[in-house]
Amino acid sequence: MKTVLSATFWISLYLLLVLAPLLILILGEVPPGAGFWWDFSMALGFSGMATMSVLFLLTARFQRACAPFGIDIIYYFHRYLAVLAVLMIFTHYLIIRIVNVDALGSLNPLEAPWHMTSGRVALMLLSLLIITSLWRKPLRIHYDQWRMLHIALAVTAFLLAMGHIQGINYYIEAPAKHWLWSGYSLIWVSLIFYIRLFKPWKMYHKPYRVTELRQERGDSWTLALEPEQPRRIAGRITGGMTCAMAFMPGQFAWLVLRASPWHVKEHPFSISSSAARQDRLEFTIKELGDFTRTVKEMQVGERAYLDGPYGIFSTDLHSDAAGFVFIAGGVGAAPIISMLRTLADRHDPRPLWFIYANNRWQDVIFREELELLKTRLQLTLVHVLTELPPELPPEPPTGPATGPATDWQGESGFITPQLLQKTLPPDAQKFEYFLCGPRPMSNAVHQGLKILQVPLNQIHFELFDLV
Amino acid sequence: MRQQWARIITLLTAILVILLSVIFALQQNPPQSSTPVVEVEKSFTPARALSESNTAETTLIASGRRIFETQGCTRCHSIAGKGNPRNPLDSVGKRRTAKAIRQWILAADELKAQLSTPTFLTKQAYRKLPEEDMNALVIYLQSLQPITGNP
Repeated sequence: MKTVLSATFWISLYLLLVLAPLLILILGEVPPGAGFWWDFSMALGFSGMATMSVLFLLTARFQRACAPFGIDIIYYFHRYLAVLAVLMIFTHYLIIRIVNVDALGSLNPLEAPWHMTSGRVALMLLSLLIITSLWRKPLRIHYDQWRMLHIALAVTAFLLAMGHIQGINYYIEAPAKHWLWSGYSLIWVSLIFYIRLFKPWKMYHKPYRVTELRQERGDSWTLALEPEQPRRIAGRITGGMTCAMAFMPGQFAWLVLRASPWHVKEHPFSISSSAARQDRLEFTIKELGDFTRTVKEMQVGERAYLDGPYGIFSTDLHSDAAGFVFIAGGVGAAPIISMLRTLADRHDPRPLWFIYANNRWQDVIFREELELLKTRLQLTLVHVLTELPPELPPEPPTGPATGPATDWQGESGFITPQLLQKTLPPDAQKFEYFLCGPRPMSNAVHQGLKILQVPLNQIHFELFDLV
Repeated sequence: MRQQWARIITLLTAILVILLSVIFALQQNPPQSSTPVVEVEKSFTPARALSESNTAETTLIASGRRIFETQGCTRCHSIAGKGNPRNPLDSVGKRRTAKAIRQWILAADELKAQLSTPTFLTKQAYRKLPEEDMNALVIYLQSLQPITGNP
């Protein structure tokens, strides 16, 4: 209920910010009409700019505002809304282009007044912004470079468009409008200050040290971080012990390695350690890209910075559930193991299932620990492998929990609706589901859970791979 | 589920923005009381030029119109619906004297209070216009009369 109220509050605030220019235009005094299409186009232009201001707000990672929705969806929303804002701004231009091309004047920047040229350049930068964001991967733009480009393009386009509005000076003459647009500019300048200077400064003053680097199966590494100056935080979650970061199991944080927090080089990763042990944080990271490949080069004692925690993918948000079903693929197990470790540390008696998909048995991250967790929890563990070698190699004697014997008890192939039906009890509808894996797996699981009549609001997942 | 919500809120935003923009545009331009287009078009006809067979003046009006077009006046002004409808110049020949028209083009200092700063600054450029071009432009603008005002 509290979440619903808070979500309603933030959505209303959002709508107010987007619609304020239009409401002021409608309610305030404006110069006489100039034709339906002309005034409609101007209204769209102003709304596009107000929406763009909100786009900046959405990426500020305000923990309180993101909490009811989950920050992953905020970034999704940012993308949808950005397309809408740019469409509004282009429609604003196109209407004038069609209805009254003479009013646009000369295209030549030497002849045209500066505010028309600045509007035209803003349009070009906005198209570039959309293209480089929606098709970053096909265009082979490096993530870190893309982020710098994205910020530079967005800031320049916004300033040029603001100049265009100021230069034309139509509706902004009246005091209310003047204040409104000054307000938007102010929000925006303070946001830049907050995101690019103040937030990194806060991170800079809470440095962490690498205390351990552990190799895991499947080209993955676990990086353990502890705060440089241990802090004692009294509180409900921490119970007064030293605390690296108060987080819920399943949450994630933005990690900065070998760079200052001002360098715009942070990358999001799930915390994999137990939330019951908050004096240190662990991140389990698979080598997949340029950044993740550098993790294994980290030395114990090196500095790291964190921004977090974020996310609503957590068993702690569903503490009254009858039981939990976890479904993960590969390194998607990182947030799941955090939840399982936490539940084990809290001696949770509820029934748990973990359906864990991997390509090869030797790459199953946390394989041995999961066997141990089975003894501490009411856990049904189901491994699903796509590549099942006909003859499994004998594992070195590291304990009873290593490689499967030739009588493989797990599943092979992919996670299918049939597999879910077979694994889960008949009363599957009463559990909460946590899903973390690649898209095809996610789709198959959704389909399977639909057949099992699991309500959609009991299926939780994190959307990675945003750009 | 949550993705769906992001889409719904975006769609809601689009609908509200379009709706409010239409309300604004309709409020600014009520369908019944809008200026009849026919009259505007008539006023475009340099009526005086037609009624008087003064060829010298006709040439001046024609060159004034050319100057009006090449100087980019349509960016801020419209005549017969061509150009920026914010500041229509239809029938300006009836509303203003030749002297006043000249003062408005040049943004004379006594008009400074009535013009916004960007407009005032933009108009400074026209002070560099050659005197004969200026004359032609004023005569062209003076020729913009409502058709009913002529015999």
